[in-house]
Parts: sequence; structure tokens; C-alpha cells
Amino acid sequence: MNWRRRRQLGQLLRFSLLGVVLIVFIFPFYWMLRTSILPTQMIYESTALIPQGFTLEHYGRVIDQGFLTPVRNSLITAVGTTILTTVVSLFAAFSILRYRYPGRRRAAQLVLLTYMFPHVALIIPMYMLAASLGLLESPITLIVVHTMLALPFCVWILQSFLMDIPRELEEAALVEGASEVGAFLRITVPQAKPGIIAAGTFAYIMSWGEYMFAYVLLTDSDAFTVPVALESLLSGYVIEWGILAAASVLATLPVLALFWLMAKYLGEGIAKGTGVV
Amino acid sequence: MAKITLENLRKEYGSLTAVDGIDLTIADGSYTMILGPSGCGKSTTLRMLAGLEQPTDGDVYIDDARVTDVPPGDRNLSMVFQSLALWDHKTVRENIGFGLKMEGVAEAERNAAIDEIASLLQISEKLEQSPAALSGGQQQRVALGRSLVREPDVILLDEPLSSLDAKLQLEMRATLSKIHKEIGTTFVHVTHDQEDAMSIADEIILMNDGEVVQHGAPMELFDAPTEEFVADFIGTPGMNLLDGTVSDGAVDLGGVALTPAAETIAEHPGSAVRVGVRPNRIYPADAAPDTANTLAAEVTLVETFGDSRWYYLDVGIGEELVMKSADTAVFGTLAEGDAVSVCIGSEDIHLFDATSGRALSAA
Repeated sequence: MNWRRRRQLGQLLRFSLLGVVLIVFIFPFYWMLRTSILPTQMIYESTALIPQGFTLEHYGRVIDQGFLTPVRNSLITAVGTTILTTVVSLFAAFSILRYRYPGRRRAAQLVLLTYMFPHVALIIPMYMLAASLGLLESPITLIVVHTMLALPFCVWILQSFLMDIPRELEEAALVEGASEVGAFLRITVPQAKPGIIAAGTFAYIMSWGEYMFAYVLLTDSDAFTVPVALESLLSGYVIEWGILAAASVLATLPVLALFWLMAKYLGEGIAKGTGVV
Repeated sequence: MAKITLENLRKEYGSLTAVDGIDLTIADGSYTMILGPSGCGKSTTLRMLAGLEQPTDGDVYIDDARVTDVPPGDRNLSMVFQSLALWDHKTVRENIGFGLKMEGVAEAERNAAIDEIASLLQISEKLEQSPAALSGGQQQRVALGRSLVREPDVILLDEPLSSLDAKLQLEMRATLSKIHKEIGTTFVHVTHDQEDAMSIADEIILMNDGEVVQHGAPMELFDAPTEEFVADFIGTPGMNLLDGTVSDGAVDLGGVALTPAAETIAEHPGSAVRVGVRPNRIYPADAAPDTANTLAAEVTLVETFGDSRWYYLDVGIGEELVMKSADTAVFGTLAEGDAVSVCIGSEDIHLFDATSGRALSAA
């Protein structure tokens, strides 16, 4: 077997493996999509891969049942979490890298250690805090909690990112008359764009899909976020699979859209942040 | 335009002393090079001058105003960094105009100034591109443009040529010198390359181990080094340096005696010394202007540089001497293995204290 033929075979093997991975990940999503557009009768009868019927009835009913309210709640929470997390972690990472103070390096190392904490243990105190502050129905509570969950990882990603940006770039701005914060915002932040996008996307997705805290902290069904609302669809005597699938598709769209927009930066951001490259 | 004064300037990093108490004045409008081997504290000194590094002790004055605690942006100086530190997310125009923008100069006025500098540096067509798309030489010009456009009192350059290839380095060196002559601002340029310093500096500050070793005009350092370190560091190649002992109005090199100018050894009978002779001050006997000291030698190696040749000479004292000649008549007559008589003028013999390294003639 010559060299060229061997390379082709290797190529084939690689693509087959990729194909298997893709199928494993995409098939459930495809099944969900398929279920959401099949008439109810067919969901139970047909197992054909290609849908044999088509209806938007489930989507109509999902929207009629007020599923757009949780979508709106989730959007508010996720966007709020993203902004808060990004701003705080950016300044935290900057402080760890650029200033000298006692405990600086230890703080940087301990940041990820907070993930060792079982989150379940925090639910009761969080609930009591929010209740005593009268913030149980407010999106602020969930935004703060989600920021707490996303922050350590984002600080970590951004720290690796800022570390790679030469100090001289900022110093050049200082010499040209910029202030410390001015140089950071005008020079370092634009240079760290892929990292900021990666961190922001992580916070957004984390907040969008977070169920446990949302379930405990939100007691009013008008304040439900998407994961909590989806769960409530499962709790009836009869599970309406068509409606559940349609709601799930709607719940996935905002995240898919974000990925679509940010795909260019995400790969670089995540690879760099986790030290792969 | 400004003169700079450093007063007992010190910088310590923990137990490491990077700059060990420097006192000096840089003349208004001069092109001053801070020269030294890596780790000698020259960049730290420049960064303290810029305000990017806070001195542990001592003060920096620009035109008699104490600026030690003034932030970099308020010192009216600019800096070209070793890495150039161009901002890739901005266009060349925005890079050059950043300082003017920070000063609050109106856009029209800003653009006029940028256009003028760009045409001076021949980068007018590149103004709307990202610096990342430019060649090394062009990037260098952008960095220079950024520091010139504000017309600062002082321009600091931290190894600005080291990122360029050899040919561009020479070109840029000449450009720097021309620009300096044209605008007359004080330039302070840090380099490890003594040829850069010798070629364009008005004054050289030679540093070693955090201290200033010698400060003067390039030819002063070349002809009258105050320390053995200067003699060795300046010149291509550096000075020949040999161990010797002073006796009877001459210096004994261990079998061979040299007679230096009388006043330099009169006060040092019996001292152990280091004897220095510039390679270009050793001549074959028939071309020598001064035949006070004539040595018999054998040529062991010849290195050819086109316009000059280096001859390694064995004069029977263990260590070899290097003779540098630019005389084409010598090129034709001298080859490896030849025996030759060489001469050294008595004024060309430098003596340094064997322990302190200080020049005896300067005492």
C-alpha cells in the first residue's frame, strides 16, 4: 500500500469517526424537531425517520399557553447574567494580572476552587436571603445567582487571555497620555475580544439552561424561566409530546442563534482560555 | 526640547538591584545612547525616565522640573518600544493619532499632522490599513510616527532596531539620525549594539551592573576608555587586553616588554596591570607611523571582511593579539603562517589597574 493510499484511508477513518459523533449529538435534536411538527396521532404511530406529516399546531398551542413569557424571563436573566459576568470578570482578571497586592496569586488560584462547593448546599441559604430581601419574584435574584455560578470560569478564561496581551501595548497608550483605565478599555479590551466573547457565551448558555436554582428561587409561575416552564409541561397526567417538543425547539433557538453569531470567535476563545493552544 | 537629569536613581526588585544609583545629565537636543550588555539596567533606566517604572530611590528631572511622581502621559515624552507595541485593532492613522486624540486635538488638525508625518516617513498609502498588514520596516515607521507626531520634548527608544533584519537596521539607523538632525528633539536610545551607538550617538552612556561606567562622546569612549570594561565593550573587535607588570619604565607582558607614554606608569612601579591596545592601532612595521614598540609575530589566522581584515598574531606571550587593517597593501603581503614585525605607538598603549579595572592614565 503506497503512502498516498494510506493517507486517503486515514482521512476516511477520521471522517467516519466525526460522522458517528455528529449523529450521536444531532440525532436527539432531529427527533425533537421531527416530533414537534408531526400531528399528534402520528407521533404515537410512526417511527419513520422522514416525517410523514406536517403541522404547526403544537407551536401554536405552545404560544397560546403563554410559553413566550418564560422565554422573555430567560432572555432577561441570561442577558443580565452575561453583562454582569463579563464586566466583573474582565476587571477581576485585569486586577489579578496588572496589580500587585498580597493574596493576588492565591485569589487567582482559588477562583476555580469555588466549583468544588456542592451547589445544592447553597440553595437553602440563597432562598432565605432572597426571601428576606423580598426579591423572590425579581429577575435580579437569578441574575446574581447565575453570575456567581459563571464568574469563576469566566475570570479564568479572561485571565489566560489578558496574560497573552503584551503589557507594552498598554504602556504605549500610557505614554501617549491615556489613563490606566483608559488604556485598559481602549487597548486591552478590544484585543481581548475573542476571550470576552467566549466568556460571555459561556455565561449566557449557563444561565439559559440553569434549572436547579431557578426551580427553587422562582415561586410565581409568571417568573418561570424556560427550564422550569419545560419541566412543568412534564408534570401533568398526560404528557403531550408534541407540545413538549415544540417548546424544547423554541427553548433551543436563542442559544443556537448565539452560537451561529459567535462561532468565529468561540473556537479561539475556548481553546486559548483552557490552555489548549 | 528638554534636558534630562537623573539624580541618584535606584531601582530594586526584591533583593536584586537593577539600577544602582545613577547621576547624570542628558544634554538638550542631543542624541544620547544608553549602551550596555543585557541585564545592565539600561532598559529599566529608560522606563523610569518614561514613568513606566517607579524608582526605589532618587529623582528624574525634565528641564529642571521634578517628574518622579508624574504619570507617563504628563511628561510630554514619547516612546518607541522594542516590540513596537502597535495596536492591531486600530488603523495606522488611529495608531499615529492616538496621542493627539488624548490631548483633545480636533480631528481635522489631527489628520493634517498625521498626513505630514506619514509623508515624511513614506507610509502615506498605509494609513487606513491595520499595522498587522505591514512589513517590519513599515511597522517601525508607524511606531516612529506615533512618537513624532505630538512633537514631544523627549523621544525614548528602547532597542528599536532589534526587531529588524540587518539591512533594514542600517537603513533605519540612518533614518533616525536624519530625523533627529531635522527636528532637534532630545533622543534617548537604549541599545546593546555598540556599533549603533558609535555610529549615530552624540553621547554614549555606557552601563554595566546597574551603574554608569563612562559617559561621553563616542570617540572619547573609543580613544580614552576610563575602565577596562569600556575598552573591551567598545570597538569591533574590542581592545586587545593582556596581563602585565610595570617595571623600569616599561610593561612586562611575560617575555615581551612594551613602553607606554612615560607619565602613565611613573607612579605605579611593580603594579599588576591590564594592558590594552586597539586592534586598528597595531601596524606592520613598514607601514607604522610610530615604531616605539616593535614585536616579532606570526600570523595564525586571517579573517576577511571585504574592507578590512583581522590578523591574529602570536607574539610569544601565550595570548594572541588581533591586528585590524584596512590597508589593501597589507592584504596583499600578509597571509596565515607569515612571520611579521608589528609596531605599537606608545600613546596607543592603555593601562588599567588589574584589580579595579580603572584606567591608570586617567588617575
